[in-house]
Amino acid sequence: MGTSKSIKEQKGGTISHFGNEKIESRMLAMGVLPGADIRIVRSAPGGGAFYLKINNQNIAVRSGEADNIFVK
Amino acid sequence: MTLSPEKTTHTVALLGNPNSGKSSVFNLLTGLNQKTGNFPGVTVDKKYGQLTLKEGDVNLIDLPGTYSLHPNAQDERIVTRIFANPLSSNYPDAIIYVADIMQLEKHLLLLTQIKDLGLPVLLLLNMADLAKKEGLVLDDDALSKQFGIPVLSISARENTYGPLIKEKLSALFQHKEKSTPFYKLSTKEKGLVNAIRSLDRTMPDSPNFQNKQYTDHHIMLIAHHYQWLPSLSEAERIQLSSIIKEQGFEGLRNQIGETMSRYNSFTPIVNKFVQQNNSERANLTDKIDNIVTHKFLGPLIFFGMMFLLFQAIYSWAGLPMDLIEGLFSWAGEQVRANLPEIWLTDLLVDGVIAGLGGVLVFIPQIAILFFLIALLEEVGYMARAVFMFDRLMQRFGLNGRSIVAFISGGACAIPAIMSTRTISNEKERLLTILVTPWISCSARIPVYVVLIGFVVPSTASWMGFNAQGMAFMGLYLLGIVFTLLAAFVLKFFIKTEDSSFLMMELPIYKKPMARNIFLTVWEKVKAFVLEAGKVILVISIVLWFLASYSMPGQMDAATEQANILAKEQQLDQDATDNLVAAKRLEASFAGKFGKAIEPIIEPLGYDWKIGIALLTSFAAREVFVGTMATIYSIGSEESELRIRERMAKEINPKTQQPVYTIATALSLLVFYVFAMQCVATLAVVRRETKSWKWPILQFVFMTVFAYLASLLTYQVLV
Repeated sequence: MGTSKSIKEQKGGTISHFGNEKIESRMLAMGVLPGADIRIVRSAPGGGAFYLKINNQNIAVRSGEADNIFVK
Repeated sequence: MTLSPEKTTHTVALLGNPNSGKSSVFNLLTGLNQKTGNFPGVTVDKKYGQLTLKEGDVNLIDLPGTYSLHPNAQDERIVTRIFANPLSSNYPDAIIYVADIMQLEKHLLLLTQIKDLGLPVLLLLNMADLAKKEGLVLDDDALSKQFGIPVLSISARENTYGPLIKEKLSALFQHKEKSTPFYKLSTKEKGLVNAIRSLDRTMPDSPNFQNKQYTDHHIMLIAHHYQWLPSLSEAERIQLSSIIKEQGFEGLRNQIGETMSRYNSFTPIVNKFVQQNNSERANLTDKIDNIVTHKFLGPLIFFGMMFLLFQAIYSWAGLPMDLIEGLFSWAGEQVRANLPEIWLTDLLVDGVIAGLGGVLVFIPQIAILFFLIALLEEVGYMARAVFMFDRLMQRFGLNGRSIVAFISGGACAIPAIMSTRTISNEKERLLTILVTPWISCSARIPVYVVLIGFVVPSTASWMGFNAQGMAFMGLYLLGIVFTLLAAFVLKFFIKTEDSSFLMMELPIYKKPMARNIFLTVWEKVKAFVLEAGKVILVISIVLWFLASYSMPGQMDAATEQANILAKEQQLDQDATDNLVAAKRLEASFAGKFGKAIEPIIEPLGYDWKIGIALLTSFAAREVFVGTMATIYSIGSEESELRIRERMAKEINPKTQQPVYTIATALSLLVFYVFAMQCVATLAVVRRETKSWKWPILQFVFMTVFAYLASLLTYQVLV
């Protein structure tokens, strides 16, 4: 995990792990698992949230939530 | 476990992820034969419907869309509550599980959780028609063998699948399942389960974990969620907490481990059957979202659509509203013409028929609003609006979804408040419910129209715009600004344990289904008429009584006095009748009330007659114009202009000045912007918050605020 960075810094990649158990639990429930391809499609008008493409799903997350999604 | 054929009525729960098409399946199976009610002992609405199979009747319950039995939000907890308590009467006998073929992997997590509880499950693979188009055909039987449960590929859009689903459900009655759990408990978890099973029961009615109905997986569910599960007593919570500490059990860590292990158990099976590519539909969705959620275009499109929606509510509702009003006044006339002139006729015409008309006249607006909102919801647009405005709304302690409620509130606060059910965070939802009535609704329009005339001359214009129109818009803006400010202030006073999060699917756009939209509109209109209608009806009957009766003899005396006065002034028959009505009103209980509250409202610039209009307006604000019409003895409310002329001539007997000065009219306008004068809204707030506390608080706060704001307005201007 040493080389992984948050999706906010990296813009895209493969999910390596989550930085927060609550977020991890919710993301797993929505079918977002480590190993999934992820990229930022766009940020919300006025910022604060991101439109993500994860495998074949589109998912919206807040900025603070994106901080806890790590990619490599 | 299998369904026992002896039982006559079985409870079958419909379960699935959000966006699985679960509601479409429910609508397909039950149609108009569905009801909304409460789970006994649980304060959450449930939708249910009856099905008839050859094996007996089935009570089908539509559970909220959920991703997992380990819930992340308040509204998902209902499902966990039901499944954690196998002894409860809410506990289903079997499950119909709906999954989207196109996203099978993530839709199967909850299925495996339910299956491990030992419940018979029928798996419906929805969107089979679309999957087929993309070249994806699933072998139901092969998948059925792998999972050990019956499987049926369907398309909820096609009616032909209704009987097929029922047939498969019948088969579930005979089905013998192989019990291979998807998730095997670890030794540590087993130890925890055994420790919990051996707990002493604290009370005779506390759950007996030794009962066979509790499987190991039930006990684990309780171990994870004991802190909030309502079926447990405080003593049991303490016991469970100490065992869990003793065993060094980490709930959230364990949930994550369990979830990962479940995916590992079924992902290989899914991959054997389905290859998931970015489908055509998904590509189209991406193209649409490039525009619709664009940084600049996105909000522009949103406000454009909301403007059109608002316009549609006004322009489409006008005709049916006129028809309903016409129908009720015709019915009133017919009753009056054909029944003897006794008090019962008066009650029927002025109380019941007028009251019913007052309720039903809002049906067109509510139906149109819900039609358009259900359309946006069905297509999948709402999630985009939430995404775009989440940040802005969060600053005010609200949620992205609040903006939808606010726009709906421009028509009527009732459907707006009902639409907040989609907000999963309780605090954000409550805040939205509390502040939405400050958005100016359509019922304020007649009041605004009558009063603005006293403030702004109709000929005035500003930069080419009609000044009265500008004043009208100003009142709406005043409402919107204070709605947001109120939320901002209230957010510091309302606490919640719920964590707020966005993490939300932006579902693939789909063609709307007429059946779903129709049933939504039908259900909302029915709820409005039945729930709110009852209250409005009672209030209007009470008001009729108060305005028509007084202490014995006093009404007759008032009539006599008015007749004498009319003769002196040589009034014609119509004018005499009007004068009689006005004098009688003054002598009635309502008139007495107006006189009694006059000292309180005098600092706001109002006299006792306005006081009566205020009183009657507390049932519904649009009553204002009608009451004014009666008070100023016009006798009918046909023409608002005539009321205004009459009001302009009204002289205050104490000061000999006109009653409706700019100051009084502005003060009244401010009062109508802010005061909570809608019994129907209060009734709906009570229904949605399941408590009297919030509607009472809302009523007191809004009305006190309105009083102070009007006081300030009047005193500054006078």
